[in-house]
Amino acid sequence: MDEESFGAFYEQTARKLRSYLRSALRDDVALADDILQETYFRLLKADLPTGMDDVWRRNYLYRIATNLIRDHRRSHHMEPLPNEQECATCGNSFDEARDIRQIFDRLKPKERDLLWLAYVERFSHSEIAGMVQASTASIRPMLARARANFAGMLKRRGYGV
Amino acid sequence: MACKSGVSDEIPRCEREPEVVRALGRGELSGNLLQHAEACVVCSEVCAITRHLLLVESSMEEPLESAAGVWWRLNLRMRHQKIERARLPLVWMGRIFAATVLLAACFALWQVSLNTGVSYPLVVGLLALAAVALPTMIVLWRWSRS
Repeated sequence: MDEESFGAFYEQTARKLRSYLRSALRDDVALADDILQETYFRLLKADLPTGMDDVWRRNYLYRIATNLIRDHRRSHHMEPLPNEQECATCGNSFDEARDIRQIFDRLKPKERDLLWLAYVERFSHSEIAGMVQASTASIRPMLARARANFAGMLKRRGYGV
Repeated sequence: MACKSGVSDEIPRCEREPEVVRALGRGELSGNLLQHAEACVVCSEVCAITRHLLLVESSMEEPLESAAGVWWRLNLRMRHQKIERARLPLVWMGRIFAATVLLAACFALWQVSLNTGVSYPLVVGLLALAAVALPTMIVLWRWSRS
């Protein structure tokens, strides 16, 4: 990959990839930036063919990122977050986005990944299956359960679903 | 509407979900599809969740490092890694050389201590040592050049 094509691909993908990393890593910006850099580093090192389709390259990029997230989760035990009621009393935020993010962070890591990849990044079930290392057929029920959990948590906090 | 419930696993499903997600992403949910999304249990939930997640995503927007800066840094790191990779066989060559010399010296001293002078086992031992060490060092040297 030359500098020009890297630049174009980076501009096209980095912002969204960083949001995905932040969502998966409970908004740890420094860690998300480290993993972002490592993801592009591994992409460059993979030395993919120059004429490769950008959609395929983007899938590959997210697969690297998802693997790095999984490795990080395995090597670092993430502290459980306070339960919903505790949080409702400790946080008095009117910032809707932040509030939703706090609710989202309470989901299981895999549920967060699935919801983000499906509804923000709009990857197909087969593409997600490749990233999270699961069968395509298992994505729909897992996604439905994740959606139901998130919707239930949002409803309990007074958000319309 | 087009919604069906999965009978086997009792997970509600809708065939139009991917279409709704794509339209939401483009900000073009309208007409028939909008009517469907409002009436369908699955799609209305998908719409609500997608909107919430897009709100979260928009709140995360911060300036990014320039592509040129990232390219420069990643290439620097790749060069460093290549240098490290090239140095590794050379380091091992040095270690093997030192170990060979040490072994040869020990072997020679042992033979001298037996007061047998230059003997047949000494020559054979040194040749065997060289026969192992030399190809290994050639392989390592070639690896460092690759």
